[in-house]
Amino acid sequence: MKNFSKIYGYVLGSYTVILAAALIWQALSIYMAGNSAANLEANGLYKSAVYSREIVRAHLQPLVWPGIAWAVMAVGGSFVKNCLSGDTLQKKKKKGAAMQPEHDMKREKEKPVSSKSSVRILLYVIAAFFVILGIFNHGMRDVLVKAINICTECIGLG
Amino acid sequence: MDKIKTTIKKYMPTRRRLIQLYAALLYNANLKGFIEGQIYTGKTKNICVPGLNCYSCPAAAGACPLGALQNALASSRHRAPYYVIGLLLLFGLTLGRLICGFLCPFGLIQELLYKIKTPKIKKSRYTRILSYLKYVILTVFVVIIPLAYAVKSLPLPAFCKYICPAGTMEGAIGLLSNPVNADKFSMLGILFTRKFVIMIFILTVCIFCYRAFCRFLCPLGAIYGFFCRIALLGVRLNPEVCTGCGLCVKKCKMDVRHIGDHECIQCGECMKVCPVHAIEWKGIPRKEKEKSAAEGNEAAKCTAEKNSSGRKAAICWAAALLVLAGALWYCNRPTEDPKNGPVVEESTAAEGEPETSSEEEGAAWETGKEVGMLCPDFTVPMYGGKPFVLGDTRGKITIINFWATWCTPCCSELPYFQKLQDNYADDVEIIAIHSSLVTDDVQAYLNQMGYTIPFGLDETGDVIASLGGSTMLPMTVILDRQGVIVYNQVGSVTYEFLEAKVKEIDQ
Repeated sequence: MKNFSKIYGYVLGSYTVILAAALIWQALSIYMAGNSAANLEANGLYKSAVYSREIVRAHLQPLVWPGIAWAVMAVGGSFVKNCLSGDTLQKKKKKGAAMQPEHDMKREKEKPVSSKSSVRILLYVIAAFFVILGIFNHGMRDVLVKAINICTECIGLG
Repeated sequence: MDKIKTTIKKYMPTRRRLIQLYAALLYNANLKGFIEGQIYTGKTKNICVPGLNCYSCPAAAGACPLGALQNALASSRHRAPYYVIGLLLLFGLTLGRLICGFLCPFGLIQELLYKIKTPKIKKSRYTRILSYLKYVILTVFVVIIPLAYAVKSLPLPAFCKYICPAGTMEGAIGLLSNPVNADKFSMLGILFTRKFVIMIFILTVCIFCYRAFCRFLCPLGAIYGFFCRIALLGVRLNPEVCTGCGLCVKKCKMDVRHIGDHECIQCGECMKVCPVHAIEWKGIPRKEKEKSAAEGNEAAKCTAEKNSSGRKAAICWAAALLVLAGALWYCNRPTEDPKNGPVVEESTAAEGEPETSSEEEGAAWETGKEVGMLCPDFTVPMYGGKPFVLGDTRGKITIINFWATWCTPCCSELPYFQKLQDNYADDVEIIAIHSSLVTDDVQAYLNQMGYTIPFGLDETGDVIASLGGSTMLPMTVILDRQGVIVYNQVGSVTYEFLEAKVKEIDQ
């Protein structure tokens, strides 16, 4: 049973890598097809857009069922493992308890509480001062402006 | 019955998972954005959320601290980035990397991916070395590049543009997945392909390696890591109780050297394995615990603690749910406010009653924003000159470019318009219209850059709305000599493209 669970994990792992590679390959193939000589005019401009909803759909179509199968395997894997190896957790716990420490424990070298909290208070004051200063120098408005507008390049659209 | 209870318990989300889900939903309260394919433009976006959550996600109700920091640094020539730094200080001082463990939606995604039962890459000295990569990314992509480009008056949030998988997933794919934005596919190219590959790679690695993005790449985690010693909340080790067995460090999936260090995401998982209960939350006063333990009154202590903590938790959850319900209502309420409502609706409404204009020759065009329609007339005030009236340009090819000083691709393509103006001065009329949202001194920028093309200002945002534009920049509209739209797209253009369009119109 344990072996089955292990094999399942390896199969799912390999499948995940293959599916991710296929997704990456599809993205690259769309880009390569869009930039092929057939799609370029003499002045270097595209005859038709590199990406379109139809092109993306056509390239992703073959990955729909493998994707669904992967999702089923990924979700089902959790149940399979739990069902097949119900007592693994307990064993692990026992094993863990018996383990010898590998790392030297670095005890938390705590600074005296008063010095720590005074640093914290000072930084809080600075932070509050900065925020107020930022509101008055229109820094807050800048954040709003950038957040309510989409810079197409900044999110990778181009 | 017990078996069923155990099974249910096994699959029940932990308190931390519930908090993570809660935070993800609260940050992304504008759920109707997914239906409309538009981002939220309400006032709540002037506040940064603590976790990594792209503000170009259609559901995002707050700003991303990392994006805001890069943009603030990029415009630091004109304005010191006090506000964002102040907010980051506040978040760091109060929560530190507890944000990574509890309040980061991208952290939640990574943890869910890691749950997929595949062979896992365990932490080692190599992962520990790799964990310093995030500091390099913070320095180079978040600080140095934006500052270096700021000198050239070119805002460049390099981490967002080249790396951020959250931006690709939530922003780009989130917007593109809506059929409303089908036309935006035409602007995709090498940048999207590269970011998509990076995103798939990172998400795949996260399946095999616990929180790979947080551990190796996330600059926000690196920033919050600086506050590990002074953060108000988080986990702490009680050195008097700790036996130094090292189980906590061994059990932890992050690259921690000791509990509460800069790599610790304060998730509290180590508390479950500590045999002597030496790890505790910072919020719980240590003295009281020690006192009651010393008294040996364990039963009384347990009951009192259970009662009080149960009551506190219930109150906290009730308050939190109330806040969430309020946020969901506020963001998704039906509104007629043009600033909050989708701009598409406005333009569609404007389009509802199409005007028909007659041409001198007798041909008739419907006025509208689509290609083949007559461009609606408008007047905009100019930077240094008389107001620009679109009707005055009839007889010439007119190029209308919508831009803003805070938009990287907009600033990058302005030289192409200038070159076109220089080469086709007799045939082409160009107007670059700045967005209604002005953050910098536009006149000073124009003086510095020395452009001679006319620059206008879309004071109310009505001009871009009348041409079907919304929150995306840059946008270029090309009109033929009769004022009919031949090109109307969001996205960058090149000189070759503009020249080809001009020649195409003349043919």
